[in-house]
Amino acid sequence: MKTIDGSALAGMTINMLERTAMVLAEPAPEGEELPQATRFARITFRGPTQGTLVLGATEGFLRELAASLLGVETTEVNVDTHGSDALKEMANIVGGSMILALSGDVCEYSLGLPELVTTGAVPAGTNITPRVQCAVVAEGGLLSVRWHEQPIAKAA
Amino acid sequence: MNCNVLIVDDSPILRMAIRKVVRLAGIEDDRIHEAGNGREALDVLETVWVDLVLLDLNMPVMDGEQFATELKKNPDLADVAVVVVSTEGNRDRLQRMRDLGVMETLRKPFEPEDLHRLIGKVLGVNK
Repeated sequence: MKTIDGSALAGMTINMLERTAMVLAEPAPEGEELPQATRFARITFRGPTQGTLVLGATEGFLRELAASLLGVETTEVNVDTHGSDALKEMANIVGGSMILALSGDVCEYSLGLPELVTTGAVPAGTNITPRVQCAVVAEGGLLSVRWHEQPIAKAA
Repeated sequence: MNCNVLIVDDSPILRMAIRKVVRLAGIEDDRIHEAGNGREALDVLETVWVDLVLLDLNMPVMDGEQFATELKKNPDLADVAVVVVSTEGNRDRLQRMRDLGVMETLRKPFEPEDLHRLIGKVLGVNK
């Protein structure tokens, strides 16, 4: 099994945005104050390990993303419907890319269904710390990606 | 082009984006149908003949694998061309989809040109 660092996660995210939506993004500059994400989606994965991927985005980013997917102007985008749906789909696609990168040649992971959440936090009570995170910026705003992972407890 | 295409994906925005590409491949808009899961897709297939199904796998209610299994059981629908368009990378699941007769797999993220080419290939109308 391979490992993924923040740089690789950012690369996957940038590739996904460009290929799927023609949104050009780059890693967020370090040491600068970044805008805060206000919309969040997460997806779980399970295989040799298990965990959660959480995406957070600013409204401006979601407008740009949804407008690009739909081929319309950003002013025509409804962030609550189009933007949120686009964020869930991006969680699905980044999650798919991530488990493939984790697996190498043979993927034994499966993804759950993406869902919208109100914060970027993982479910309360779970003992999962962020393993890898990154942030990318596009013209419209910021997209953050955090990956939480833990080993699967073996049955006694 | 006189072909009917069914897009099955639980993401409305992705269905809209795929619809754009299908139109660019030469399919008239009123020949493009949509469903949000496998159950809805089976309902569509009860009312219209479809030449190609573009099928996501991870969906609520009825996922793509369950849909393909139901399709295979129905002699009237067993020969419908199915292309998986999904993030799925699990080797065993993809093998099961091939065993169910899925023709091709396009992994997300994909470029619109990839899907355009695949539609042309499956429908035999490469441009």
